[in-house]
Amino acid sequence: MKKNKITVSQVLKTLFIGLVIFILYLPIIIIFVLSIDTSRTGNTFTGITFEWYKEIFTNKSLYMSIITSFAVALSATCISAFLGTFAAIGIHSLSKKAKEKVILLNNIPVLNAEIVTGISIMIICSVLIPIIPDFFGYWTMLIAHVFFTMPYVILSVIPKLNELDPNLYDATTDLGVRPFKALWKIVIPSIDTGIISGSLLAFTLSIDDFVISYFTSGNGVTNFSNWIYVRLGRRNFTPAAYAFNSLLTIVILLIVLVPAFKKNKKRTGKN
Amino acid sequence: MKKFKYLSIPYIIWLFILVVLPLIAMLVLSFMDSDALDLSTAKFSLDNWASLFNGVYLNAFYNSLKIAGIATIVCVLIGYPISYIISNSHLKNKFALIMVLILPMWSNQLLRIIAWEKIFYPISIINNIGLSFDLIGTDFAVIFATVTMYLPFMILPTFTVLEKMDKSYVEASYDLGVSRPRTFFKITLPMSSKGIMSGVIMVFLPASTGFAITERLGGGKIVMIGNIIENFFKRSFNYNMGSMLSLVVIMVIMGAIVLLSKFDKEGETII
Repeated sequence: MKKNKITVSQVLKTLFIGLVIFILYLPIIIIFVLSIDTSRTGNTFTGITFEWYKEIFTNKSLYMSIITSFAVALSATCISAFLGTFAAIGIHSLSKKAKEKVILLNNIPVLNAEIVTGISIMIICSVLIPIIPDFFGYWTMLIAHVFFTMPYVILSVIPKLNELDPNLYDATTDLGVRPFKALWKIVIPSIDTGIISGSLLAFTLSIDDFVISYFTSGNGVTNFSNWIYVRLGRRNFTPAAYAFNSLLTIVILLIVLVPAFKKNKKRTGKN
Repeated sequence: MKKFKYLSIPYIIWLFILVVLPLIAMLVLSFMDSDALDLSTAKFSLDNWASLFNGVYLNAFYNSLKIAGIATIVCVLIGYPISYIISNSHLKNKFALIMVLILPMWSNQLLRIIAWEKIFYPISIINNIGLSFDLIGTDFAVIFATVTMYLPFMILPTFTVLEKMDKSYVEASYDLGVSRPRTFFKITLPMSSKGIMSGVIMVFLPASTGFAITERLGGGKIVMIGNIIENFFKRSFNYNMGSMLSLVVIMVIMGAIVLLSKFDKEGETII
């Protein structure tokens, strides 16, 4: 620190950012308060209890919806990461004009309204109901989630492929390595940061998805967001949902922020 | 790597099945009078399109554009200064602060909406600390919740663009005696416009087509186009009207995508 003077503008800037952080975290604080409130409706604060935290493990429909959320998000992320990487390599190898067209098509699921994406997949999957009667549920949600997460993987991988030196691949194959082995040993390791960031984005979007799953879930199989939505204001809603969300938020805050601030400490330590 | 072209073919087919086919299905449905997806009793009908200019739908479109428009402007006015302040600050760990601002997104979006709903009713848990609001059914409540929901989507791209920007242009401008505001408007703002643009898209599109916020905070008085489409598909099972309105939404978004592709050929602004 060179200057120890604190200017008015610095104070205003800090207050501004502090206020925005407060407003962004206010709903999270309220969800936490509701999770320890004895009142089931959450309209008044009547006392502190941890009963709802226990109910996460006893309310079957709730924990099944949580398991579905994770199962769909994990499998959709793996499929999108794997197939998306190969699709991105394919798109990258196209001629410039064809590439632009495919990327435009790839942008449609990203930019399209979630409600339209949800309805589109619902209509297409409905066609298959006569063949597979109980189709709606896990599988339709999985198709939908792969559909809307894969474009993000592709968009994260393509810039990395653009950075890649094409001679690297050519040199490998010239030395007699078979094309797919060259892809696996040379290309994939060079674009892994793109695959990882795309997968993280895919998982984040998938786990919290509400609208698309709303239209593609069915037969009693639903995810956490939709479990909440259909029970809002009804008797079968339980504050255990607040409890689960609070636990998850705290875990994520710790996972993300502790390393971020630790890195900072290390750096200042060196200085 | 040209020989990997064929890897893009399965993905193109997949996109055709899940993007183009549903569009055709919706187009057919919108010109019909059918019992949901049962086409055995379906008749050709122009009634759906004729009713597009019905006051209810026009009002819903107007509400969507107004609420999302105001929310997007507020997000720019709050999000851009935050990114600018953090990017130009002397903080050791700017990235950790940005993470703090983005993390609320990992808390379930529906529960965050419910948290606002809980405190916007006159009788609420904040009565215990002497506060009471009566905001359900007001534009303010809906816009406020929309801003808190999508602000991180504005902060992330604007911060990324400001961090990547070559700051030597700004220094050169100061060295040449150009004032701070003029430097900002002539150099920083134009150089970060791409980030603002992707932020605007990432806020405006979901904000204008969502239905959960108006459903919970609109008190039945504020109806957006998403609420009407959701109602047609999930409650009254009028797929014909729902398809017609979805197509109108798609056309508006397509226009936006084409406009975007003029600026950005490789889809880089989206992530």
